[in-house]
Amino acid sequence: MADPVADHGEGGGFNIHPMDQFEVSALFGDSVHWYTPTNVTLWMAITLAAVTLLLVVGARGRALIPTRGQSMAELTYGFTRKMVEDVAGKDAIQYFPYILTLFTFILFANLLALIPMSFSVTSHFAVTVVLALAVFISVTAIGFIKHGTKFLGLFWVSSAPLALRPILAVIELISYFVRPVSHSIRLAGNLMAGHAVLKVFAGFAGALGLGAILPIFAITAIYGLELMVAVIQAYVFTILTCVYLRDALHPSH
Amino acid sequence: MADDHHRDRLKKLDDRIAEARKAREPKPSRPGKYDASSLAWRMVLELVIGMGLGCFIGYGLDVLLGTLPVFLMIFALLGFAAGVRTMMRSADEVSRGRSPVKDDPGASPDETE
Repeated sequence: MADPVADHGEGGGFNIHPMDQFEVSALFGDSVHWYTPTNVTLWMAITLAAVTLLLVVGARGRALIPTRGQSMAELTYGFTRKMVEDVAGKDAIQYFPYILTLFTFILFANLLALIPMSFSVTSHFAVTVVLALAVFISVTAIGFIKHGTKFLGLFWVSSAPLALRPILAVIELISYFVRPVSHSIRLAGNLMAGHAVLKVFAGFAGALGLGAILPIFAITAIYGLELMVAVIQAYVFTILTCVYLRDALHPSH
Repeated sequence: MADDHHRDRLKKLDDRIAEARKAREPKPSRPGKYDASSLAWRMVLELVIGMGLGCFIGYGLDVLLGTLPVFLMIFALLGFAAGVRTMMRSADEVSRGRSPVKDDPGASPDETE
């Protein structure tokens, strides 16, 4: 996919293909159709299994004094629930299961992508766009169901002079549609950039011989950064979902 | 006299319990604490996407109506305004510390459900 970034002097040179790790390939056979199980399918399944392991198997004991697994599951649950209550309001709690699902799925997909040789599911726009569109469509539907046509008041700035309102309505409409786009690009972009940078530094390390100690240090540092980015991006995605949900539940502000 | 003393002690105990409870209560999660770079990244993205979306809509209208530069120009400006608006709103949210929704039931009496 990507051309070699640079050629090294003595014949060998180093070929860095930072984007090769994002290639979708079939698990069995060569051709990829819409129904083919691919590495994306595999890693999504692993993500689901990991989430299930934490939230279903880990919390199964329901002990008064929790085990380590149960404690982690409870922390995740409590953290997300508090976030929904604080940001979206108490009446948003009925949508909490959906938000917890989103949060754990993205968090685990991001973290599993950091395992060497694994595949980063959330670095694909196809995946994040579906996640963002699901949020966008359901939030818009909730707004219309709860408030009917009053939901359109979100676009009608009643504090502005009447002549300006149609123009402002167009601006508000466009900025409403900015949400799902930025929602999906942010997640996939962050993940893709981080993994590509890791790969580029790994390519340097392969070509430098003894000097490889420097890129290896850099990789270690960037890996730490990526760990942070993985968690933060899952958090940001979830909290923005809560913000959009709040706007749908209380459009008049 | 003894009763007063008793009440005093009870009140003190009450205060201590309230204090301890307050200390144990989890702080309201502050979304502003995620790092500044992710915020900057978010705002830049919103600005660019607003503009891009505006251009896209304008171009689409132009292709449909056969008036190529007109709507593209108008919607590029509108898209830019939308981008700035989204960006300012997210800046606003962060500077307010994203205060939670006020839970006064009078705020939305028009709710049908």
